[in-house]
Amino acid sequence: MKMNNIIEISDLTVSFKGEGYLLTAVDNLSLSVIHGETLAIIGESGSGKSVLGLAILRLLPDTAAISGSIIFQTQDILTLSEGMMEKIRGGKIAWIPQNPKLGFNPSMKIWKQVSEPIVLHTDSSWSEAKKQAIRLLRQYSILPPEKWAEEYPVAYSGGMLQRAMLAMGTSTIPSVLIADEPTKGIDAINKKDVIEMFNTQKERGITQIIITHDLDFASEVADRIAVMYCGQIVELTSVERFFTTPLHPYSVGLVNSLPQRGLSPIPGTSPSMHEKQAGCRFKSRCSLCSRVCSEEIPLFPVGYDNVRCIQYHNRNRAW
Amino acid sequence: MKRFILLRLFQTIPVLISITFIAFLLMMVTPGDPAEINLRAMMNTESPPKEAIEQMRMEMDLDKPWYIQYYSWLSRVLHGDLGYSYQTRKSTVEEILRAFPVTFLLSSIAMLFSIIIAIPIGILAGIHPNGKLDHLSRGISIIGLSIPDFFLGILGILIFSITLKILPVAGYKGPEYLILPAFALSISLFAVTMRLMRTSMAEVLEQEYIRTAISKGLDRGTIIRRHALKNAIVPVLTYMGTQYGWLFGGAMIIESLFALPGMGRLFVDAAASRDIMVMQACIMVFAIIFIIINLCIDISYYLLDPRMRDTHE
Repeated sequence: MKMNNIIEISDLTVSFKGEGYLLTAVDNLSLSVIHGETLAIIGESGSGKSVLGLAILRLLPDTAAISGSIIFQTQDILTLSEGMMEKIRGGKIAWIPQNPKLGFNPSMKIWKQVSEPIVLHTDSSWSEAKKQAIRLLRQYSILPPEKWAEEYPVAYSGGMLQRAMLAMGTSTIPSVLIADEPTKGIDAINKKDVIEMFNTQKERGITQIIITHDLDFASEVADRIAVMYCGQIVELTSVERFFTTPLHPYSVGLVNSLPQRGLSPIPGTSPSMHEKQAGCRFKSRCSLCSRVCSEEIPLFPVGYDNVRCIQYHNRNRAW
Repeated sequence: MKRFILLRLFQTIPVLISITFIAFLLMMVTPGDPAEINLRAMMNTESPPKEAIEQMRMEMDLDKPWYIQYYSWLSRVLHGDLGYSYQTRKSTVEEILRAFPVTFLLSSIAMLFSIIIAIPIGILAGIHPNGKLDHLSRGISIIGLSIPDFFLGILGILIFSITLKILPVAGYKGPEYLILPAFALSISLFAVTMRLMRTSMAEVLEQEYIRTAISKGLDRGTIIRRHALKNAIVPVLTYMGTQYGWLFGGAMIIESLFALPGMGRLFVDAAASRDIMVMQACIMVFAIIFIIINLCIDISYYLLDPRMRDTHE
């Protein structure tokens, strides 16, 4: 493991066995997360980005078959005992769940749910944690926080719940924060607060993994971008280069589909995850597709970046 | 909270009025002339004289239109006068006060069996679905649901009263006389409660907020106690609440089998001898029990599930 990496994922495969099919959500994926960076994992729904996030915290159901390794600091998360995992979860690696409406316990007051990680991972008492929770709610513009702290999730709107979720995820100071779609259901005004919050966390030295399909948001907070397609990383690059010179045809498509680039969509839909894929997963939607694309394609290094497309084969030497 | 309870109480008024009307209707639709039935018991003869019957009909207001009858009957009921039993000549209120505690105790003990045994087993089975305990409890439930309560009662008498001689056969002289009947009465409630608790618990543990709780680093025990239990128990409580009313009314067969002088027995005996005023009183007691139970369920919902509060306030 390199000194400056906080998480090193090697050959991670996550699959779910159903009746008559094997769904491979994460396909032999390797990825290193650098200490202190904010890495955005982008991709469309079903590309396996959420499953990857859940795998890092070992939050997947028992039905998931997981292989490979996820080294956090010095330990392989996949081999740790449940007791060790409980210390890591919430304390060292915090998680912001995707669905705020379902992610909160409906019969527990918000302040208590926000305070739970504080009480668990610091020396604070419940009353100290409550004060901290109210401070956090205020920080996320849930006003007046004293009133809202005493409410149950049912009283909150979707956007407020999302912000309360962010308050809960950032209530302790973890080493790594994994956020799954943190801008879902948040309007433009509040999104500024969310961006500011992630940038503050970054200044504090917290490594952040942001799973999102909101490219604008990724451009505001991320240092690096990993593009996921059908369970694989197809491009790993810096945020600047992703928006100026995307390499993979899929990345090019994503950038061109942004409103400011003329909203041109990528033709076709992503292939069904239920079938075993061979070669380039994007080939059926790619205008540059050739016969070699049916062969398994590795991530090719291109300068500082990595890209999984045959047209960049041997490009590194020319760089 | 106060407003909510008041509102719910207010809503029971039309229900109560309809019940008095239905109970009154019973007198109109029951075959046989109430005056004649009353006289037969009073004079201890099969065919009371015609004039006496006419006299009785007038005394009982039976010659008046139904709405006058209903009015005078209702005003008597509202003054606490539920009439008297044609059979025993005792006031109906007295009969009810004698029978009510027996059935109340019987159904409460049956309910207690389910609460202290079925709910914990259901919780444990739900935490480990398809584990050993889950399979065992599923087996018990199927047997429990398949055996009729009276059969289990007879089986219980054979085993515990006649062979082992540790419990009394029948009658009612003390609380030990209620153990076997309560056990027999609780069997289907026990079976369903156990399965319902298991399913509810297993379902709650699959919810996203449980994953949120895991992601905070909470241990399994805390997650179950703090996050799962309260949410899982709400549907079970509702079910048990509604079933309490059924237990109360359904105790007829068990009370007859074990010769317990409860409400069910009272009602069956009254029906057999067309003792209308006693039947009317029994129906109203059953109805009021149901209303009180539903009120309790609503209040417990209000306390346990914050989602209910918004819809009421």
